[in-house]
Amino acid sequence: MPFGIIILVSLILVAIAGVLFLIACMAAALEPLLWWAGWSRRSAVTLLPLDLPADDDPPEPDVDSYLVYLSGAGTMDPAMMEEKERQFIELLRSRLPRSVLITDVFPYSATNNPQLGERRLARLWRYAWQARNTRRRNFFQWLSVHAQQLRNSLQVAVSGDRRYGPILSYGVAQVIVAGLLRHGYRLGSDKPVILAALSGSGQISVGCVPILRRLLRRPIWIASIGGILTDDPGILETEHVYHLSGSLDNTQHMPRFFFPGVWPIFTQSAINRARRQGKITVFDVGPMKHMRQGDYMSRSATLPGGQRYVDKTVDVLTEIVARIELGAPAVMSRPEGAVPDGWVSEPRVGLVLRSLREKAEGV
Amino acid sequence: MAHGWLALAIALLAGISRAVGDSATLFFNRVRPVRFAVGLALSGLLFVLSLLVQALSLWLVITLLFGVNEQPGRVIVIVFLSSAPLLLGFLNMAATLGPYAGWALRFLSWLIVMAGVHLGFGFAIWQAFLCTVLARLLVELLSVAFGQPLDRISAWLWRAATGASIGMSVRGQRALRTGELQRSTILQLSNSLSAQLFGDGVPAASASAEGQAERP
Repeated sequence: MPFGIIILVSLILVAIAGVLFLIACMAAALEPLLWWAGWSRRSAVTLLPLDLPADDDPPEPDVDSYLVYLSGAGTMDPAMMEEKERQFIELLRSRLPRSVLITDVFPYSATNNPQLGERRLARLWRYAWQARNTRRRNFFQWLSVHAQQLRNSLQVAVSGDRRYGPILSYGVAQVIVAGLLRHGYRLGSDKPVILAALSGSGQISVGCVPILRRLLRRPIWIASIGGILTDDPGILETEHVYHLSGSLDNTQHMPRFFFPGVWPIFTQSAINRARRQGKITVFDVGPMKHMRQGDYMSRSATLPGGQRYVDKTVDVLTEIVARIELGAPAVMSRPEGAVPDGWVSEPRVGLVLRSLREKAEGV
Repeated sequence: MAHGWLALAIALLAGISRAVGDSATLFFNRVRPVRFAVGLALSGLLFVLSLLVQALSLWLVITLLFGVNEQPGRVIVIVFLSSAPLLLGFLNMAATLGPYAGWALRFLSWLIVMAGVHLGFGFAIWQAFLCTVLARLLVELLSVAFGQPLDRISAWLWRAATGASIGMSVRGQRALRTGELQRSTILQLSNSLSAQLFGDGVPAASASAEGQAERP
């Protein structure tokens, strides 16, 4: 076959793939739009229970903070976490006994409808769920698993799109508030609310912050675990973003390709303004990857000192939560070395915190 | 004559496709499915009208500046046919990447107009380029001169056809395309819901009532 024809056919195939991908991006936007427009079965736009606890109901639990865990794009149903994630959550729970950890929010749906819930493509997603638990996958199983992740990743794109993002965020924020109320949170409580966002839910949590701030009338913190952070204006309303960054995690930098606002040349973009205002603190947690072996929840990979990756992640998260509970300044002492303004590397955190704790305890 | 109808059909379909691409406006207004379809058809017609204005501007530039003695029909066919890439205008709806696809399609459409003027009238490339740029400037001037009454008519037409209230003016449409209006409306709605939750305000307003946010 002549070389020119091969090139032509390849170009045509690339164009067709590009158009199909854009159609998938369109379909992703339709889910929150149909909900908002009242065309879907879940047509109620107000998702919050408006019959709030009366004064004689049990008081708010004696806790120091509320941590809402939003999983990554690989999640299908918060009730059916994978073993690795479940162990991470258990470890986190054991390290934060005075925090309420909320894990039943599915951030990739405006109505908290998980992928394994009532959906038109429910059969496909169930097939993908079974495929995920299969060691040697055939082509269709492989395809379904990737389609599942693509579906959630496209919801991140929807959240980052200014035209649709506010609609998706309005739903997810209400679901988060409903989750807080279910777990004993009382409106007006002074206990900090922290969104612990993994991967794609980084953007979704940033999108929700302005709405959460208004609904709860309280500041909101974000602890992003390799989170995707775009140029969403919500970041400016976040009290502070603590971002755990693995040096082998390239996925966290994906917004550079799709959201020009994150480029440093756009100095007036929301994320660049947030950086200048010192609202973002980045922790270099070591050579962690975004997914699979060696990721933030890895139990087999260890740091040079022998610490497991999952322990390191939980350690840093615990420190962050403690800082927020203590009302410590967000930007910590700057270690020696070339660290950009407002950005701090990790090792000094423990020291700063220890001194803060001692101060609080009057030692 | 036959390709005149073909060109018209392409322009109409491109207008409808483009409207699908911008359908966030209609969805955000919570219009009913039938009204949604009417809105798309109306958008197609308005798009054809806007192409007609562009074609007449181009014809004026070609006639007055380059002294070409030609009926406007040929220019109209060229401009209508140039909307062919916009048959994929629905892709503008794609999350995050859609606006980039929209720009690419509009650029392609402009290139076709230029090629049409270059080949159809035997102009040099730079002349064709100049014609399209000047024609565009003329359209902009016309929109400055007659923009307000036309905007009012178009907003009235939209409201009557779709029942939508948010972002029907040109400014509102722009704010809906950039997402500013969605953001302000949702934040207003959140404030209302918060007032209802805390029991210190009026019941949460419906989203359609939040159209107030659009008013300057």
